[in-house]
Amino acid sequence: MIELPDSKGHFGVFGGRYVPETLFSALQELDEKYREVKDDPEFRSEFLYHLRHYLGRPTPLYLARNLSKRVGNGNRIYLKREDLNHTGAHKMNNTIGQGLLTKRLGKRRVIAETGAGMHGVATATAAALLGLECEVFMGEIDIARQAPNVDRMKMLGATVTAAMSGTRTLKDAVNEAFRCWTTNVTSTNYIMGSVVGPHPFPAMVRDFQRVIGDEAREQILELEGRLPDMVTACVGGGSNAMGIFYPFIGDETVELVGVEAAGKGLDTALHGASISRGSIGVLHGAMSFMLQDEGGQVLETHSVSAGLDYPGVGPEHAWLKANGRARYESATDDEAMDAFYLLCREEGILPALESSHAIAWLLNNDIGENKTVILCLSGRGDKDMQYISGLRQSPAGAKK
Amino acid sequence: MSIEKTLADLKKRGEGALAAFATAGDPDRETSLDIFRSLGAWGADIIEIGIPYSDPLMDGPVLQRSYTRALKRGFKLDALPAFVEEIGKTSTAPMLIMTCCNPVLRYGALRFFRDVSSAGADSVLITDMPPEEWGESLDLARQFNLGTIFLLAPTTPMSRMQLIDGVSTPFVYCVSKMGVTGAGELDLERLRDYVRFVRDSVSKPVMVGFGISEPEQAKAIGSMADGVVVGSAAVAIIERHLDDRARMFALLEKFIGGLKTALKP
Repeated sequence: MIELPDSKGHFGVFGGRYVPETLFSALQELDEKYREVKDDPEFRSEFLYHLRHYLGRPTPLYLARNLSKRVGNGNRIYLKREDLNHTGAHKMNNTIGQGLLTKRLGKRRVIAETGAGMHGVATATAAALLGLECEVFMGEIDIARQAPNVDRMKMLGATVTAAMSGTRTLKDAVNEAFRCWTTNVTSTNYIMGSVVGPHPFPAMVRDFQRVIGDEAREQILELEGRLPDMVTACVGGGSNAMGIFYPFIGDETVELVGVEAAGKGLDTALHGASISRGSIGVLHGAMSFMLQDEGGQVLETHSVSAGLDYPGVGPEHAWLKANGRARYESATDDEAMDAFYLLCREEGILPALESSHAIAWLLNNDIGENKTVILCLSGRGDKDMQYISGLRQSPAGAKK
Repeated sequence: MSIEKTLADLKKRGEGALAAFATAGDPDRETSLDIFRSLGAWGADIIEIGIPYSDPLMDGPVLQRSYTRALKRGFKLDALPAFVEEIGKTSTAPMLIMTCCNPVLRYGALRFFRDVSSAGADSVLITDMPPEEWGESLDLARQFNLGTIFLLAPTTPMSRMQLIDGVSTPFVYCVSKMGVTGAGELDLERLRDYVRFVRDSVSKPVMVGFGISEPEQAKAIGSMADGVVVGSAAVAIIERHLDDRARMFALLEKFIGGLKTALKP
């Protein structure tokens, strides 16, 4: 297998470094430093130490018997419990990694973008732990709908800055973070929250997240004595999916399924399905699939989950789609909401609305018989409680 | 006349060049067309036509808002060639197109180069496409006789300056400071040292932009480089007088004229 990306950050035609010149050398520096520390035993052991003792890894691989019954046909669904990480999502794997890298770069300040606030909280947490100054950019609309996470970031000592431009959501928070970085690039490191953005972010974030898949692969071999038939995860930018997919890419019998946000439906304008309904273009410094109009302007997106409410997707997912190694499906807002309630009521697990999309896809599609499936439960749903209570949706809507 | 020839002629006269930027279609097509047609007469030696984009990474709030205004009024890249051609009918200043890459990629790079070239554009500057990502597109642009202008920033290391100097024609666009287009203080002392260093390191003419809004700044930088680019300060005048076109044009004329005067020996 050829190691991707190439030295310029390309996965086939995807990826790359489509950025203004001011940022170019900072990305080169980040890439060089990252390649230097990546296999440095001291950095590795510091990273692994934090994963184990600070985040609480390894996270369990749990056979969800009640969910399996709902899926039916003798299929066995294992949940990779990323919701049990410190701060409640997989995001922390990456922020610890990039936080430690920031120290190696000799920079004292980090910035980050956030949608639902989970990456913002994870960055603020890593910054607090590692003694770094932290500023988080968040769309004005997301600040209003994710208030508890805004408070958490502030309590952790971070500054939260509202992105007031464009649609005032995640994509605009990314824009503002880039603009801020352009101005402060010599003193500041940008901690990207997903496998998106210019090289080296997609590869670096994947490498920090692959611990999810590495653990899951080892755990399933121990529990089942064989590889799974399928690995599935929700895909917004795609970091939890890339993290769990990556170690299985060489295992050709393992089907990889990413689940995008179909919002109000793929045939409406209100969704976040960049792969299923997008086209090739450049967003936030990388070539990938994206939602754009015929003139190349970025489209507004919609998803009930803020973390999937993004018009782009990581370039390596575009590559996996293009070469057929992974397939990308979707679940609607309503389906995700039903799946959320089902997991609450029948497994006693309150999942993030993002992860609920992957559960919904399993529940609503025929995946065959007697399959062993690993589903990445990327985060817990506490952050969504206020929003869901506001919808006053009845649990009777859950599939019976 | 080409940008290359314009810069050479001005240099012979010991005069700094002025490139003036505005956004295509801001605040609407007709007003925008009149602004571009007038820039040359007001004193601009080079006209820089900005392409509206929903998510520019390098632009400050003034240019972002101008893109939003143009897009709201229905700006379409398909209409750009006709727009450029219209400007060229009554204006002789050479034209440079500045854009983010995604609209161009969507339009098709080859088609874009062909269409803007035949409409009369001299050069293109794709702000978020470094030389590493151009690949064959560089030859395509050359085939259509278009200049390809690249940015050079305070963070650009020496080794990259040579790379950029090699591919950037007919000039190198030197970014004055760290940060996005528009507002912010310029430290003229430091900027002069930096511009002198760039000028001595590259073979191509050097135009300096980002944050230039005063005749004194233009004079100081113009004496070190081949000229200056002014953008956000002009667009801010447009923005402040959306309801009073006569005043908008009078102030733009005064502003552009003032900068040009400062660049003369």
